[in-house]
Amino acid sequence: MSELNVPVKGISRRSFLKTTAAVAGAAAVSGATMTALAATDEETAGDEEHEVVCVCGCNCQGNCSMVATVREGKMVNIRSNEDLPYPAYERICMRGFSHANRMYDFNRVLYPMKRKTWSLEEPHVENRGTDEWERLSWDEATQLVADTLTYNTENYGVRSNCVLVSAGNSFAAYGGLIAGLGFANAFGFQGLDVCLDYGDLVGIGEVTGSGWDFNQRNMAGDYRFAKTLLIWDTNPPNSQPHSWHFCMEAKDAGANLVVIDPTYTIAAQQATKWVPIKPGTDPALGMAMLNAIIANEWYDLDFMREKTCAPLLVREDNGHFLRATDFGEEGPAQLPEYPFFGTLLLQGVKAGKVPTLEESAHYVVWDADKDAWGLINDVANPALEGSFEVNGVKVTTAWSLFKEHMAECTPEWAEGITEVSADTIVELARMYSQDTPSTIYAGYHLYDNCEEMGMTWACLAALTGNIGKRGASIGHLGKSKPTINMAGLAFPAGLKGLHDELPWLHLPEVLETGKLKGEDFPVRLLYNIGANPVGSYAAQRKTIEEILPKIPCIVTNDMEFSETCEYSDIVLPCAHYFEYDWIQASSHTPFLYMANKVADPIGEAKEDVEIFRAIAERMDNEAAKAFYAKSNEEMMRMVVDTEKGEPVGITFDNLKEKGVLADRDENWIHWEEQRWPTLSGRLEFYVENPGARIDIGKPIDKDFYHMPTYHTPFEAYDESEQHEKYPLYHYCERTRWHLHTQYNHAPVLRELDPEPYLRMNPVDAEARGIAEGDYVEAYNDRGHCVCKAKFDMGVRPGMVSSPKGWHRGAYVAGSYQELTCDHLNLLHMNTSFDDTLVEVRKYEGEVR
Amino acid sequence: MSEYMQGGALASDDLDFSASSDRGRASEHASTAVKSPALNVAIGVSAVVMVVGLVLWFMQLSGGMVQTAMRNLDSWGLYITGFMFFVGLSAGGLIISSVPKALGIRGFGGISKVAVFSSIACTVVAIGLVVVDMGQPFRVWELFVYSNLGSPLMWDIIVLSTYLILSCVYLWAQIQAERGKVSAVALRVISVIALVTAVLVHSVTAWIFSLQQGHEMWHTALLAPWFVSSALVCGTALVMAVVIGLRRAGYLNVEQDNIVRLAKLLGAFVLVDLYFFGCDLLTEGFPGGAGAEVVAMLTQGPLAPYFWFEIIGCVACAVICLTPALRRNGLLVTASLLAIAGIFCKRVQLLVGGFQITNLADMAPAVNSMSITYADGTLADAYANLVYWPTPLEAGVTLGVVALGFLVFFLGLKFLPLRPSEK
Amino acid sequence: MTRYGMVIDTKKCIGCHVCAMACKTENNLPNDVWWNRIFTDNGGEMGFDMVGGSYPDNLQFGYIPVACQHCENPACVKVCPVGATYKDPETGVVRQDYDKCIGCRMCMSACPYNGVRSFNWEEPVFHMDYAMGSKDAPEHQQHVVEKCTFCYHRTSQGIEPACMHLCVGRARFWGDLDDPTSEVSRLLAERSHKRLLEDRGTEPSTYYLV
Repeated sequence: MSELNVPVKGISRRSFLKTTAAVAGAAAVSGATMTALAATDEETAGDEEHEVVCVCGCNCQGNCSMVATVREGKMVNIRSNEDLPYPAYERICMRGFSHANRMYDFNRVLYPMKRKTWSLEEPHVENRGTDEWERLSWDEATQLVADTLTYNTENYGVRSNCVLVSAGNSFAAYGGLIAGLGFANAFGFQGLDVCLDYGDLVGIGEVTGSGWDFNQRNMAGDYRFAKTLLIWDTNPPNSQPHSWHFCMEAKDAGANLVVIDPTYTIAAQQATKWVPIKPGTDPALGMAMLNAIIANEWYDLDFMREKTCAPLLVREDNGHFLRATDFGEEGPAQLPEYPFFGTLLLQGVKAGKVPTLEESAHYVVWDADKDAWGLINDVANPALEGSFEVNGVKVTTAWSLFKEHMAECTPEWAEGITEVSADTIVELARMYSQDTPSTIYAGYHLYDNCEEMGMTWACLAALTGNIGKRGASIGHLGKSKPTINMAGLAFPAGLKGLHDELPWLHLPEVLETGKLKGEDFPVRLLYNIGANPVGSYAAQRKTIEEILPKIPCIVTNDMEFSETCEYSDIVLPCAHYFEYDWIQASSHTPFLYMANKVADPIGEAKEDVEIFRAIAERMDNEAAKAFYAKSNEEMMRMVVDTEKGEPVGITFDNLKEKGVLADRDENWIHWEEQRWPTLSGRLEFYVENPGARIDIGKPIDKDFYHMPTYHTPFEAYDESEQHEKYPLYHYCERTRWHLHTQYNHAPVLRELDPEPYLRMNPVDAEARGIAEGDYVEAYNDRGHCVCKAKFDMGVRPGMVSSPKGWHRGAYVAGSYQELTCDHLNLLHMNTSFDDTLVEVRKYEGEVR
Repeated sequence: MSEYMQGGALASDDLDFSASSDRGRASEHASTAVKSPALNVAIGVSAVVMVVGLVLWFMQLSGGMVQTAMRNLDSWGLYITGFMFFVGLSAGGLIISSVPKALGIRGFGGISKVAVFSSIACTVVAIGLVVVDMGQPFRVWELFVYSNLGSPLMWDIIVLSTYLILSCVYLWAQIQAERGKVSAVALRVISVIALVTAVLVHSVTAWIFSLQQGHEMWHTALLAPWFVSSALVCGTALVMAVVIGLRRAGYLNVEQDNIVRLAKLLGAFVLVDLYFFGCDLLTEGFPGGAGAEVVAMLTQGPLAPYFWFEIIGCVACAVICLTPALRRNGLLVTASLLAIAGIFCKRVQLLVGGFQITNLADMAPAVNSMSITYADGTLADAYANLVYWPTPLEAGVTLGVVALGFLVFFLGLKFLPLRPSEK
Repeated sequence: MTRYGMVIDTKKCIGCHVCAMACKTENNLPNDVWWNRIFTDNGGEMGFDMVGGSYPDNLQFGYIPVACQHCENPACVKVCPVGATYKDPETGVVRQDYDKCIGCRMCMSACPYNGVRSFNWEEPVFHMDYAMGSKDAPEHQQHVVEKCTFCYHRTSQGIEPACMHLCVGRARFWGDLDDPTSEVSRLLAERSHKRLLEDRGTEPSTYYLV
């Protein structure tokens, strides 16, 4: 079978740029046009033209419901679905128009393939990336994967099979991402944590108790009601274009629309105020805003007294809140660490539990009227400030501690760090606290001090009461879906014996030492499911040269031949999310969606569930077999047909019929009940027992993390050691042309965005003798990349940026992803991609 | 009879209508084919080049005009530049030959027929260049079926074809007049019509450009008279160069006095043309703004070499033509060629310059290989140098069309009685 | 009488290119052909999608979609020698007859809005090996001039142009300029606006709110 062409040979460096015509490219590599490979069934072939309601599956969280036009079995047109329960959520983006391009892209994986010289018996890694590919039948491929998983399980333990799941094959309630998580859980494989985007979530979660889940803010429609909107660390018109019109509606209604960003983006241009800030220093700005709010008494005392930990008493001895139970026989309780549990999906499940007043009745406060301690539910007027002694235990109110802690973070102090004037900082503080309600539309602060960023945002909300109200919220996405239940698919084997995920950033040490938390931990197999760690994760050269070679078998499910596929041993072709039925339900929109199949899969591609079903059939695990014996529809019903859904008309049959169902209000408010899933049910701007996002057996300095405390980024700051050698701050901008590493080939997009570039201010370019359009090399100790320089006056002098997502092959040499910082921060364990310094020089080499 | 005397006799032929019947007889000698090996070689070479051009044109039609350097933002190129230029050359020749007859003044020796025939050849080239510029030449019939009489291009097509026919009629009339078959009055009437058409051809060609409000550089009332003056410059220069050349080749004999008068005329025309240029530059540049941009582009920008060549070439031409001591044949030919090249540079400035300054320039579109010739980089980069430079294919096709003109001219020399009639 | 017109709010356009892609898909435009292009309003010194001016106080940035302006007094219609480009009397839309076009490119030169017209410099090439978009969209021919038709094949059936189906920034409006109650007329009455190159006298039917 090996003589059959596979769509991968000949995809050399930069070559895909030159063969952008899918037809030409496909013809060159597979001897036929790609569309000819799509099996067209009789039904659709006879039909001249019909429409299908479908959903985009990529994880920008836009969840665009769209209507595809299908002619003779092929998708010919697409438009936004205008028939939605809430028309304000009608949406599509330019990438959405490129799906036909993607479906028939020459870079699609068409057949199951194996690296020619790799075998289970001899799993060598020498020529990985350069070896030839051999086409397998599905039977052969799934048997090989099953045999390898079984062999590893028997010889090295089940957890030696590591599964890395990401949203590349669809971000779904049934399908792609959930299918991958369910596969790992069904067999008890070790899950890997992607270390992406969780940094400020940890900080926010510490205060709100929401763990490191994304579910924080109100539904996007609620932005319209804000009087002050801080767009912080993000450029929504590019990254979340669909939410921007809500912000602009707020602006039209007179709101302050403030963009805090070193770069002059289109969001900054359309805002009422742009605050250019020194990169990576945003937490200092936020802390100085807290200071100004305190100094000017712009806080909301009533809110703090009723809804936050302000009156709670912090014990001097152990730093915990004083509880009446402390005086019992058992003494101070063992507190769980915030945030909980080393798996993303469990954040919402466990940490989402909001305690009742009774459940939090044991907290002690100081009764200001009686000048004595009392229980929180009994005291009408608790003291907010002061130090006291209760039964011999020295305590201070959380509010007093917080005021004192923030006292040094003056606007003048922050001016020196952020290069934002003290006046501006005070003005921002005033707007946020006085022109209310206020919303912080947060991006991801991809620097090592991200947890402080998140914590600061949450503290701003806690002090001013800008949370859980109409027009007032913080953070990233709206809450998880209220009616559906994904647990059955994500955790088919249940939670018993569930292990924390292994953070990707910790993997190098585990591979190096062979140990995790002191125990032997061999890693024998890496199964990438819709994940592209080579393309998407920091310090790419390290991934290629140090991480992957230590793993004897790499299996990848993907629809496109990603960089990770190149370095895999077995590649299984996934269907595009327009090629099968699935269910979309993410927290960004107030809808559930039936994602209907638009066209037949290309080549031999199958959806992830089918692939796992075939593997499960070939493995010796009865429970897993039973799970995968369920039909696709049965699985979908497990998600949709729930007790909560039934009464509000959310059923699978209804969803199938209507296509899109609303599951809550379009302006839904998170935490409207003004209670939070912290232990006290209050916003805890003082964190009793801070902990690492995932337990990897390494301690953190708890005292440091009780309250927001400024620390520099890891590498990207003026005084860092690297700065002398690499004086330019490098960040990865989100462009509208890519989504992470998806849409890299879609030729219609490449017409407008033909090649990667390094965006720089001419001031920095001229100092290095670089002219617009010159090829330049950006480099640091981790790697380099060579591409064109583009001049942009909106880039802050001293910074350069690379568009995120480009395939390695698009660069003349290296990749932007070689430059990025892979430092492991023990608290947030998030990849600080932008915490990166580089130097840039004119490239004198040959450009192919 | 001495050569000098012959020339003297010829000098009066234009207006010596009484002698027409004699010349009519004499012309029968002249109508016999010229047997010159050099001419045969020239005809052969022209034919070969033309055929090569034809092949390239078919390549252009089958493989697409993507093989030219023209793109959406520089949508005309060498073909239309050549069109403007050859229209100018053509009308110049005709005007030179018809003005004396029309106004009843002394002519320029026996060059009238050669001048008119050079006009015909140039008109053929001009029309040929329009045809090769068309994307759909096989739809050319539509021009006559769906004519939009409001389009300056339509005017030009009408006037140009009229002009070609008139030129032929005028040539025929001259030959017939020599044979005594056409009366002097009729010839004079035809010459007046030809003259008016010649001026009109120029104006209309200018209007194709000057009536476009889209291009600051073109949109000026001065363009039509200026086209006429430029035509006179290069037409006169061409006639002078050709006549001196043919005299040297022994094809015809022209009195030096006539050459001197041509030179004086050329000098005067060049000065008028420069004067118009000066007026235009001042009017464009004085208010500042977009016009000043045009002036800057011409004098300092990517078109500066063409601008300065034209200015210096034309001034040198004027000096040679107007300084009696310099009116030696070699220098006069040089002056003619300088004037012709200068006017060609003018055409390049006008055409490329029109595209070199883009409207909406304060905004940046995405550019690609269909929107502009050099799409690699920003739009500002694309405009930093000449926005357009022809591809070899375009140059080849253009050469082929020009070769067609030469072929026509040489065939005319060979087979038509274009020599001044001999006694 | 109907006079179709477009109103684009430059303060809302985020350059997302949805309108450009909708146009490209609906009309099955050949490779590298874009009838509806999103310009970056940056002073022209910097490239597409780049900010102009100087950091941080004097920056110039914005997006402005530019397609055929469907002028009241179109320069292109006057100059076409064969009437292949013409104004639809019913709707005011400037239309083209590809079968008639002789490819002289007079209209391209005459149009002041450089580049809204595009000439098929080669036999149209497509990324896909089947026709995308509407089956009613006219076929593309080598060596003829094309441009935005205001999606005549849609509007003639009472459907809005493809670019108007959804503007992500909610910046695009479409309707009858002659109808004082239409959304476009109302917006023009309420908001200050401009048209491109008004000094050229072409009277575009595309208005930009400023």
